[in-house]
Amino acid sequence: MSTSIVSSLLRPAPLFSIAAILRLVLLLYGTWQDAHSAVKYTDIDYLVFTDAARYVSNGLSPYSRETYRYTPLLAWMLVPTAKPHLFSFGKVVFALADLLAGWLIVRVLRKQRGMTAERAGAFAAIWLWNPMVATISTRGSSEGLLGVLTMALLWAVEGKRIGVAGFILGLSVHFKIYPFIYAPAIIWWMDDEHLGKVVSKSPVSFADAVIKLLSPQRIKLTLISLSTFMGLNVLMYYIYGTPFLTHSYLHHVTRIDHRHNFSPYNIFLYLASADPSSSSLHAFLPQLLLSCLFIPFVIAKKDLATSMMAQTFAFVTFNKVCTSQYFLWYMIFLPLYLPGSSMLRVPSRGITALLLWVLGQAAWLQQGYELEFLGVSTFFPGMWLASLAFFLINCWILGIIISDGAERSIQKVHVM
Amino acid sequence: MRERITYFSPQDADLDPNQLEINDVKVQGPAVEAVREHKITLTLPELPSEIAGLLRDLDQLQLRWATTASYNTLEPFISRISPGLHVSYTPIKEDHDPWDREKLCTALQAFGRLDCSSPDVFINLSNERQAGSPALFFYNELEKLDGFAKRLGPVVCSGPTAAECRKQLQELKDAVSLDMSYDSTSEAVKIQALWPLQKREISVPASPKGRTEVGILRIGDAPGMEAHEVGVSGVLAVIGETKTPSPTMFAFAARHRAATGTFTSKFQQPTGLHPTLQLSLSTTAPPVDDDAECAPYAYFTFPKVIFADRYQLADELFLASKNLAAAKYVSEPVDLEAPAYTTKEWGSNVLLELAPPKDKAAAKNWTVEVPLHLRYLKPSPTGKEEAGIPFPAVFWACNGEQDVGYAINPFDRINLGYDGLFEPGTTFWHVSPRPAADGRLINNISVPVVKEGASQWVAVGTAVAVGLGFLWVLLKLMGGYAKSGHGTVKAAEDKDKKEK
Repeated sequence: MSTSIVSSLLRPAPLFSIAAILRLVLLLYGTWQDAHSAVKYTDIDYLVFTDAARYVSNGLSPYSRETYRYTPLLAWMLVPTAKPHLFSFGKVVFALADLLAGWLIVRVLRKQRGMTAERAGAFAAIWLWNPMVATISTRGSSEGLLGVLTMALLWAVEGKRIGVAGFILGLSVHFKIYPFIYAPAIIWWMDDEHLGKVVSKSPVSFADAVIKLLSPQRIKLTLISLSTFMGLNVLMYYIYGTPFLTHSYLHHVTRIDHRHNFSPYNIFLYLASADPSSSSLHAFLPQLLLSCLFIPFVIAKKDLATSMMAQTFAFVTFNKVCTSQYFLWYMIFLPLYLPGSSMLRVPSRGITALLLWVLGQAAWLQQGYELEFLGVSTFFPGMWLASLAFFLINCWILGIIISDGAERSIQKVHVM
Repeated sequence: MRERITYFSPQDADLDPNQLEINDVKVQGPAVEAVREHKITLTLPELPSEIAGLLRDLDQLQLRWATTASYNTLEPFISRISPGLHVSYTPIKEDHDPWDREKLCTALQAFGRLDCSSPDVFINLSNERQAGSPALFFYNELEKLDGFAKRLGPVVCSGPTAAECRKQLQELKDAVSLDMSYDSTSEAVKIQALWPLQKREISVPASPKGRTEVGILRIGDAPGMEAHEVGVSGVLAVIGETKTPSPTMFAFAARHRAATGTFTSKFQQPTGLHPTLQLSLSTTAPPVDDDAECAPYAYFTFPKVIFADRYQLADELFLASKNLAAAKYVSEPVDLEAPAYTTKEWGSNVLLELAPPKDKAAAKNWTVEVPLHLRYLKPSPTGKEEAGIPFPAVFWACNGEQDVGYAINPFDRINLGYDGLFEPGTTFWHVSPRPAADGRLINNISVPVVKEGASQWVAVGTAVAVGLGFLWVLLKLMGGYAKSGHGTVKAAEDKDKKEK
């Protein structure tokens, strides 16, 4: 009885209505809290975006706003928020982006994975009904936009819409850099098998292999994504000049990342930043090897979605900065990874993973609270150990995702 | 060179001019409760050549120092700035040679070790201010003038009067405020030092090189004086010119007045990384007629370790919840993220308009809260770093006529940092600071930092943890690769096709 009620809620109309109502309620509540309380619901970043949008609507550069470190596209998109009564416009856009990402999830699960509507709805609900996702977007954080972009990328690739995929890839890298990690996975995935062509026999010589790799579709994707990315960059550079490059890109290379965050490198970087002679660029190496090379090589052809999930998870886990908003980057892939994963097949594993993930954050947050609010110097050893523990927990979870991704096709064989 | 020494007593002070002994070398008198001001005016040729050379490249220069100690004073010597050394100047040329700044910084080392060598340490003030305000500003904490007096001795004291000159310099140890200003129009350097209100003997030696004027004055009503004016009466004498003191009585409009009440400043505990500074005021609006618009303000001088976020101070509800009305001015630039050790500017200035309680009766005692943020500091052995944040200047600013003759006031003081942010005719009613338990006008704060000893552990431990994590993930990948290679399995593809 109760299961049938739940499953009826997972049909598309109620699924999306509930997701929309959840966001609407949060949006209205946030507006009320902002108007009546000195403690704001709206995220500080949203004030940065809307200030930048105001500058843009006055014909100025969005980079006139300190700490605006995004593409001007975001400020352009939010220009309506310059009008006081449309202040929440951006939050509505972000919430709609959430819903669109959810719709794409359902579509990929149904058309490309052949799931029933209810089953697809149940997995999509992990994103659509997720209070963390809904809160982040209604508070006005733009991370939800990345969700829709990466899901659209997967949808376009798996649907073999190469032109669209190239455009989305170029756009998302322009938007937030990190989606470049998906490029090798997609390129690798785009073999004859996946593109539904007659599979020619295995190449015999190295030259054959190279020629096979340089298929017209791969070249098309590369050219379209590169030209979208560079086209947008040239356009923005033409309009806004050096500040665009400095704030959107160079800032991420040169920033010293000393303020406390979840990253395992954090305390190390704080110590290093106080010593001008040191360099910490080598921290990029394990991160890039895993997320751009090893993971896509082993998993992309077996399950592109799981590969993208694992790549993002590795990128965030090994990143020099890590805040909870970054977790959204991989959460979007959960509905695609979880079906058939060992996390669900062996519930104790899934529950342990979730609990450890939450506990790792809780331990760190407790140290962070003592530092930030009580002024206790918890940097060492408390916060440092907490960040390393959280890192190792994440590595363990990443190991599970990778094993699942590598076994995925084997299982299907057994199912047959 | 001209010198003017003024003893200024409260209205009820008892002093008989007949007790003064005036001769060719000094003025001597009995002890009296008084503030003492010593003003020296010099022309460029009277200065050591290096200093004169430095000043010739400048349009104006002001050095102002205020003591960290709590002290009592009287109108018209009532204006306050945050304790420490405040340096502001305008170069003659717009694109002034960085060499000027370096020379200035070198000269400033006379005060002690000042951190002024980096090119961007001075902040630009030119926007939003009255014409004639200085262009560049720098602040450094400076507890005492002892070192300055000692270092200055050999430079300025020479010849037969060297001993007397050094003795006078030694008196700077007890001064509570020191102003040195130069402007290219008058080509004159004015030095004003102030000693606090206390029982002091009247004793003025003749200037070794110039005219010495002595005033022994007290507050009192002058005939024909207007309500808003300060009246003064007493005697004047010029050493070597007058044998008997000549009585005087005059009144003037003063830019700086004394408001009733006091304020205290302290950090709300625990301070954390986002401390709140609490200003508690026991003051009601100043005694001015109703058509003058008055509002209370606090002007802060924040060393770079701490800063206010202009964006946070933009929300009206938030400001109101802290009893603040508006952030009228925040100096630029203020980086909202950088640690102190990569921040080039000395720090920042903030002018906040305070919101007194609507209910006048409740206005006796009220508290405002100033939300602030700490920058990260370099590692220390203890995991803590102490910082001292100077008290702000707290005052009521009242609108006045544009053409008030403030300049007539022989004790006027301008370019204090905040005055240039108001209309020219504004009157500042200063609220006296009440110090913390240690008697200083400094709020101490302990900043959590990473322990220095952590460094080797963190380097090794982080590398080991990242290495282990990386290896674990790599092993899982290799395991996966061993089982299924890097490609797909054909059967899976068939199933996909069937599903479509």
